[in-house]
Amino acid sequence: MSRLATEVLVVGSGAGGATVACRLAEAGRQVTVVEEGPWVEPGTHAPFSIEEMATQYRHRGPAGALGAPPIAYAEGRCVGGSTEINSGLWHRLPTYLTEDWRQRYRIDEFTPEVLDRYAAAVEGDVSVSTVPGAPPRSSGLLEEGAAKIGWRSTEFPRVFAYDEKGRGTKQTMARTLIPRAVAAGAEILPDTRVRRLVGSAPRVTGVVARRTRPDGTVEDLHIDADHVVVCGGAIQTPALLQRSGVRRRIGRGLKLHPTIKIAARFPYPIDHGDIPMHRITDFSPHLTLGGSISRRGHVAMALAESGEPYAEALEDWENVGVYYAAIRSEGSGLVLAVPGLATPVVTYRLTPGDMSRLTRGLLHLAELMLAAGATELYPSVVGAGVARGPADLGRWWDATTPATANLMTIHLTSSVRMGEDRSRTGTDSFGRVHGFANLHVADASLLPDAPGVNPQAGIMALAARNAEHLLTTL
Amino acid sequence: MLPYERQVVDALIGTDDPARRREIVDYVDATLGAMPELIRTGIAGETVLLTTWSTARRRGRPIDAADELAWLDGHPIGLVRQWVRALRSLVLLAENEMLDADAAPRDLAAAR
Repeated sequence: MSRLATEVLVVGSGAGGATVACRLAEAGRQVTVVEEGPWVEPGTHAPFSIEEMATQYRHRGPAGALGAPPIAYAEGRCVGGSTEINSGLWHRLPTYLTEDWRQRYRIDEFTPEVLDRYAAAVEGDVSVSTVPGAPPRSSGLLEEGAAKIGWRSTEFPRVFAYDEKGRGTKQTMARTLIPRAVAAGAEILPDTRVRRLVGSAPRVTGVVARRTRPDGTVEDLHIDADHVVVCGGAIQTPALLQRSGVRRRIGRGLKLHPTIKIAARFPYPIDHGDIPMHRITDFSPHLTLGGSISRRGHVAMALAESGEPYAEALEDWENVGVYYAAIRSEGSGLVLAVPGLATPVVTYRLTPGDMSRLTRGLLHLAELMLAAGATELYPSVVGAGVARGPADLGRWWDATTPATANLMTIHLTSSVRMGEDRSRTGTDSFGRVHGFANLHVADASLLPDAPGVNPQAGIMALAARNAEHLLTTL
Repeated sequence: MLPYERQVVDALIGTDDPARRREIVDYVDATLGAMPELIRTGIAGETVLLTTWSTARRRGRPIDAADELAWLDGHPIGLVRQWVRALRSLVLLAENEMLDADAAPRDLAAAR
């Protein structure tokens, strides 16, 4: 077993890990980042292609939270984490939610002013901007449909930089903060899976990890560290803590945004290379309507999820776009590391209210798509039938049940909540795990609840805040 | 991939091109193998039961692709319908993405 030593070990290199690593390295600390997935040169694979899924997604794409219904989810697994594979949409955390969280979980230094200061700082790091010129057709359709109904639509900015020709490049962690961390002296170890933390309360002394070499052989590593910051995301972070014997308030209360979809067929072609940046915000943050991945393969899957004959619509796939309704859920889930299994068991329980909101969201989305000019709607609900007009939507109410709905999510949070109320949280207000002096968390796990918006901005702002606080203790 | 899974995947693939069929089968095989252990175990357990059920239903006759898919798609047990939907999703994703890649290689820099 090889032995390495570092001052701060960051486990995971996504939005949280890259932000922490960059902040600490640029402050002159010795930082090592271990990442389970590979380094993939940005731009190697087309976004959302099967090649990207095979190399940069955990499990090559599909995973699922068990429940009724099960909820499919995806996680990044590469240097840069999920920032390499997401849409790059940027939303600051809604203030009224953070105020509620601050009071309910007793989170120190969590005022809107503090969060805005850190959000502004990370926005400078990743070039948050809107599309120059007109939005793509797939996004403009959301705006047009909303205008006809009288709903409010908003074009959200993204972490994209645009050249003089208007071509956008997503500012992922592998393009931004990881290179900055390396320039400041941080060491990145890709293809290295942390098996467990070493030590016990009140101090960890490092980790045991396994590195896969380029030739496929493996090497066990013991990495000594003065501080360990776990940034593996809302599934992997609690799993690692549990595998290491840290279980109190860890892995319970998982939150996600249950999402239901429609494949909408239009009488003209729409674009398929990008994700719409408009969202219907009338019902936010409890219900959001927007656009999803609409590459050919994803269109095919969305059509098939209706359970209806889809061959003719698939022939016409260039006229089909995939759109979604996502809710904030009253239900919650569990992440459980099981001895002998490399992958934790994930469960999620939707409440009857969640199913009702999902159904309402599906119908709002259908209304929006019809207003935008769609001629056929294929819901991700088996047995609901294809809708060609408002009169067909009545049967969708009764048809949408836990047994018939196909749900998915890409936003997972809240499995290691932060705050000073130890009866409800796994870490203190700055991500230090209760009972430990030098074990920290800095990722989506800390968010006390699902934010109802893409969480990357909130994760990065929190990670920057927590890194600054950690620096005051080193 | 278990033999019955392979037979159903074969039935789900649309193209007649043997090389492309092999690519799709390889993709589905790799993706099933990469799934979380518990989910893969559940699917495999269901496959074992369905293998027996399908054999008994056909009374030893060889699989007729259309008939087998109709039986699975219309099965009264929801888990069976979910099982075939999962395989269909993987096949559809792979087959259509491969077709798209053939038709129009994208400008990755622009797409990003």
